[in-house]
Amino acid sequence: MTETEMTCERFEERLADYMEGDVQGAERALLDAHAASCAACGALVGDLRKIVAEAATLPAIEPPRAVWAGIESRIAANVVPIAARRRTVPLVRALTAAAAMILVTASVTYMATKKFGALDAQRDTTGGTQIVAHLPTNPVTTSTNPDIDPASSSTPATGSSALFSPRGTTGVPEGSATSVRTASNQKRYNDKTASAMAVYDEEISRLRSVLKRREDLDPKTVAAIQRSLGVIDTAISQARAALAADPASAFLNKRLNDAQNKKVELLRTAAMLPST
Amino acid sequence: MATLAPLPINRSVLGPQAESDVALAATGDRRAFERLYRANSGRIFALCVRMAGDRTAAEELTQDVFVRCWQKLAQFRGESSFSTWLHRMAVNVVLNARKQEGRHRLRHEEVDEESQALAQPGLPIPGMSLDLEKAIASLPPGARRVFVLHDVEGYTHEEIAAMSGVTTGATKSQLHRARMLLREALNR
Repeated sequence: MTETEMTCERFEERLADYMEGDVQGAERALLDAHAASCAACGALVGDLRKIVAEAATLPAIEPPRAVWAGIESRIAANVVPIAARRRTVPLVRALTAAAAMILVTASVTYMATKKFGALDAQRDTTGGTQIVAHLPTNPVTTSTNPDIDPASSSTPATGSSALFSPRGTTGVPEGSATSVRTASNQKRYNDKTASAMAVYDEEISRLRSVLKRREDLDPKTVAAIQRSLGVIDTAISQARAALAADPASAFLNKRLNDAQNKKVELLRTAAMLPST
Repeated sequence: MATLAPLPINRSVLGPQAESDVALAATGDRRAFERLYRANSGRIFALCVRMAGDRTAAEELTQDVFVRCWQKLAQFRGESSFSTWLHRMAVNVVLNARKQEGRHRLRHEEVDEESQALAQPGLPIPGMSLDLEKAIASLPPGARRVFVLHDVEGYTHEEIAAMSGVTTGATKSQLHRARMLLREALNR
């Protein structure tokens, strides 16, 4: 190819490699010559080189002070292995806050319960099955739920009870000051998670009871609710699995709580749907 | 109190202060760790801001990076500089967060994200620094990550491809796309 054969179109096709220095020899010389003789292509190369040069000199950005404060709180009890310790603080705080929100908004469930007489239905084991038969099982007996260690669980369970079960062990030698402190933290964690989980489970149990009475719902609506619940439960499972790898991630904790809240919201919406 | 074994640090690649602080921090000295944070947080936060395109997310990611660093300090052997080791850890944290987030995102949202055009207009190229930051933040995520890693942070295509689990062809394509989009934004 000669210089006269180099077109702007061909130049642009080879521009990425040209910029990366992946074009050598005669072709490189042709591209250089074209860039020098063509105002448009020359300007294009000039702009891209300026962007590359500018990018390499972009400055550091100082983070807000709150960032260090957050780090400090997460590493504060450094005598406890972080993987065992950190999970408790953000999860418990986030979970209790989310559970508190459930309590605050429980009036919706109350209205649905009152409207559809679900309290009586809770004792009715022969109730309807339109939705509930397909709902992911959500054990209500939080206190008897066996420990589930997210760090070792390869098949995350669905449902709120399984999500927040405390770890069985912390990996700290028994009898040491550390183990005493860890045991204390663990007990506090157990108490708070059990309390928060009970809120979730009670709410979901009530909503499931309401839905048992909703045989009046359109089958297509029921199918849509089932699909949505499936997506949410998948999200919950994935968030929990991710948290097992990085328990202190605020981002993942938020994702988990968001999914939990979405599940309750969906159940509430379904419970309050008008009859068809 | 649990204690960790002293670090066998390669003294040739660390400055005296950093060397001392790394060793102290590895034994649980939070003041030493804070000094390491002060010395490195600007670069790590900048990486997170530019990679995530969002300051709030960047703050959370920066916390995750330094907590991970605290956890892993005992594994640092001084084969590279502490700042290089930390920086690589930060890149991994950001890329892993993206993967985790991606699993939660619906398929159509992924498509929208990658087909997203520049959202905010920039200003002409002359004197572009702040405008370049804005333009980078408005790039599609994939192109933005490759641009930041390659043109801002200096990683090679081979390194980026290995960290991201893609081919070098894909990273080169994304890089060129990013540069062209940036030019377009800055020339508006």
